[in-house]
Amino acid sequence: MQSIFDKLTILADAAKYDVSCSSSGSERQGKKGSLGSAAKAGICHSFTADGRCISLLKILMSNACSYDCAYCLSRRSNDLPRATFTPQEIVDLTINFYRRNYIEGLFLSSAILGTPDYTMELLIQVVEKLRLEEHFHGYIHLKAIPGADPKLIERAGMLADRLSVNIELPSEVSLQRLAPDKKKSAILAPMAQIHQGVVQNRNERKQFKKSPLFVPAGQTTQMIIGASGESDLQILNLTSALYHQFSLKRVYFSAYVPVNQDKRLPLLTSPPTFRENRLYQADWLMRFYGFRAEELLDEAYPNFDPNFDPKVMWAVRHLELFPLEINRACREELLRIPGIGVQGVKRIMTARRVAPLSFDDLKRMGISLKRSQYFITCQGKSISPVALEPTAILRALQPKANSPYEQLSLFPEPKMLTGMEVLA
Amino acid sequence: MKILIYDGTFDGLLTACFEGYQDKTVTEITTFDRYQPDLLQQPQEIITDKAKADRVYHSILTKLSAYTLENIYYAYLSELPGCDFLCLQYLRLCYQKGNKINAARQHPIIDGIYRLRFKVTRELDRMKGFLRFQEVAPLFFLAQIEPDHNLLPILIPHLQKRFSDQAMLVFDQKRNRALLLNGQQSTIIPFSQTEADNLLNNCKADEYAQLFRQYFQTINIPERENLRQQLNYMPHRYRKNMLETQ
Ligand code: SF4
Repeated sequence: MQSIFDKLTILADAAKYDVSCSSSGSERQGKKGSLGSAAKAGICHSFTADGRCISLLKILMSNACSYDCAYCLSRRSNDLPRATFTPQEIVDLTINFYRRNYIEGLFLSSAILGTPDYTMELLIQVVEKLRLEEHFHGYIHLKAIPGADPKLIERAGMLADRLSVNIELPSEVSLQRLAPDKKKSAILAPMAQIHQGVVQNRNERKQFKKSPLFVPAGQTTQMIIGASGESDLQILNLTSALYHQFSLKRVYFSAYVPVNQDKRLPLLTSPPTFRENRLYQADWLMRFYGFRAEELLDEAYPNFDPNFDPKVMWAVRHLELFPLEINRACREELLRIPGIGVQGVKRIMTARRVAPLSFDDLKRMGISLKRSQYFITCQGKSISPVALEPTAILRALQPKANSPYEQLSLFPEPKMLTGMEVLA
Repeated sequence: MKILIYDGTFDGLLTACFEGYQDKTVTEITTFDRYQPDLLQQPQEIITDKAKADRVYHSILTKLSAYTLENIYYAYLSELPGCDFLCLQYLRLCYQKGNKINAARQHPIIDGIYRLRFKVTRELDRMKGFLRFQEVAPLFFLAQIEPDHNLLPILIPHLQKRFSDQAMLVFDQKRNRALLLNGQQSTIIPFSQTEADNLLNNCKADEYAQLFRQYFQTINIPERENLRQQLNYMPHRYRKNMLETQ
């Protein structure tokens, strides 16, 4: 008999490469006399040595998989310890961790235990116990298992805050090669179903405030970066299409960690985290800064530059739009200045209504001039030490030898306070 | 050069603002606890007066805004050097220029107030995550914290909403005070480390603490180690009360 301790060790270890662990955006309210509430901004309860936020108890129901995906540690052909939780064990862990304020809630996924339907049933048992028996109002993120019966997906959606289906790889060809048991159609079908459910639920709730919630925190997906040969451009285009087609809340990127020896996989010494970084930066630029995918990359530049973030690269290719006058530029323009984030733009727009701003004012307001100085003027004056010219600016912005780009501080789920500023 | 000294309560600070509003010789406000005698400054003791405090409170609400009042409250909770006098300067500025002056982030007083507000709310957000409960009796939980700022009063709404079916005691080790609350009621009482230790020594080892410690170790991806980022998000001073990093 395995102890809970052993199961937790095996099944947390198997779940750790799944990057999505945010708990934000749910409107589920706490109820007097019962346990739990979902915080709008999401709360990080701890940070591991890899700098990632622990928000949810992230575990697999089981790692005894009947599939054999090349990039996955839990695949059938690997010889390793297997474990499966009972639904009650997961319920006890969740409730007791939650009461001690270790977590925001549960993120439950699973390997394919027998069939997709059977696996999905088990996951649903856990949420039903949590919601209906324990009256737990905390955050629950469930994986929708591709290939499971749409009725099961529907049931899961009535109880979870968020559902996600992993797109896994950035193209169908790669999927066939590396995850032969998975079909593109089996992945897209539940995504479409959840999308429809969310839209329909939103309409119902407009008419009947009391209609039950359906996946109130929306759906997300993730894909593995660097296990297959797609360019950043291909990945970005797919991302943008997914946002549009399924109105996803987030697309997560996960740098491939080489866990298996496999002829089909590239030989990597370390996970390509810098690419993951750049993709997240681009993703933020598209969602909050008004950039379109084709502005950031094109056939001529299909990959991000390891040394400069996508906003800087865009700006040096469009120097005809600069320098921008801080006291006159509109919001859309301000958002495009390298080194200035969404919060900074807000501050500038409010403060300049009272009086025109100088460089000293900007500094005092906590707006960093490190990168922005090359692209702006204040009341007509510039403090840029170099000419408005691509090579000069890039030379000035070149990262120092002792601060390798891998160290850039940006991670999928940044703390809510710094979240908007990570690009700045 | 006059220094006003009050009892450390919010009403006390508002009374001090009332007394010092017109008096241009006031150059500093502080509390009895924090007061350091200084030959150049003439101390004046403020006796907290509920009626005066209420007048200031309501005047801010009606003539300025709830937002301004909130700013003053956060600045007060920050307990940082100079925070009390900054509140008086801020009040004078707001009454002189009107509530709209809040938009002038480039003004040193407004900026100072925002920085205090930011520090307090950031620590509050962090503490909502970092606070760790131990079950010292069935459904009775104890947490020990040592925050830079006085967070106990502003933790109440969050804890009551989230854990409405449990009893809790949050002990502020730095200020020797504890917040005692359940889903309906809350109160802040004097409390000591000895009392906290008594509660902790009388309960058995918590198996879930053990499990969470193991979870914390397991979920880490060594190939992606990034201690600098971990440190940015979770400064050392908070870790001594977190079971996973103790
Ligand atoms: S389905 Fe594929 S990715 Fe998922 S656990 Fe099984 S082998 Fe791993």
